[in-house]
Amino acid sequence: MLSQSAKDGFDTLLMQSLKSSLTPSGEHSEVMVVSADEADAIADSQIVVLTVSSYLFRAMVMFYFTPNDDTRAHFARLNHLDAETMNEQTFMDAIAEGGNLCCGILNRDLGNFFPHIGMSTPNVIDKHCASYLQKLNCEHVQHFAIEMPQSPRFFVSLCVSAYADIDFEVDANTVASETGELELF
Amino acid sequence: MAQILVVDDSSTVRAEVGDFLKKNGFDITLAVDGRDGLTKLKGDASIKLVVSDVNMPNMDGLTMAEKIRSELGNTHVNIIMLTTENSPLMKERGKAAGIKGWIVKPFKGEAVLSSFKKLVDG
Repeated sequence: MLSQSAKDGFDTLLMQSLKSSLTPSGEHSEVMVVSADEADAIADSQIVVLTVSSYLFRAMVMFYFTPNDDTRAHFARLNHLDAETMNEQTFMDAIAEGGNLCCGILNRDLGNFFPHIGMSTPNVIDKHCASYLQKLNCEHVQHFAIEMPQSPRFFVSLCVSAYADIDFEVDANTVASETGELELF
Repeated sequence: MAQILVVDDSSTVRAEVGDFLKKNGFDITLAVDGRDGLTKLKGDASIKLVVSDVNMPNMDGLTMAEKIRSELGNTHVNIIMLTTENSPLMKERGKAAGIKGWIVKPFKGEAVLSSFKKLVDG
């Protein structure tokens, strides 16, 4: 069973990782919780799905997207690539890498509380697959939107299944660890 | 003839890292997983630095690093891991395999450029 503090902790860590991973450098973004009704109305056609799990829980993160020019432009800016030269494969890889980066951050941050933790590789599925989520018996489902001035509004769903009593507390003011620096051995 | 081998299963990361390094004067070659990385390194004695992801299909980056030292007997090439992982256990395994350093993604080229130059020139 997940405590309320643990549910809040999953939400806080995912919101922080969304902001870090999906915002192109130098741009501003806002991440917010959205209602289940709003999530039901998501018009995007596809989902990148990843899981972060330990023997105590499984957190499934779903990134909704529509493969159009606006999405292409966003992920090109995010990855310092030229949108014009991105073919379909590199476009889909860029979206998947966005999910991978986000869950990588979530995985690292959850690792502070759960030492034995791992994450999946990204998979792209049709949005209609989301209808089967209830089969997972998730104890905590939350939906988020990320807004940036020059990009489409992206939606993300978090579904957590617990296999034991889980309680941890996240300090929302904790500064994220440094990334991108070379740590020499 | 390449100076840096970039190993990542994501074409996005290969393009981002590869383009940055090329723009900064490095000769590079790309590999899609650890197995491909081993083959490319075996066939090009000029490679001075390997920049590799950890989690990849077919062969992960840490296994590749171990095989570079053991199977290829290459003890001089510098190996850097570029990964979303930051687990102390993985870093210890990397150190045991003789890797030179660790970068937590996302890749920020300017932050590592001077170190890469030293590792290639040294």
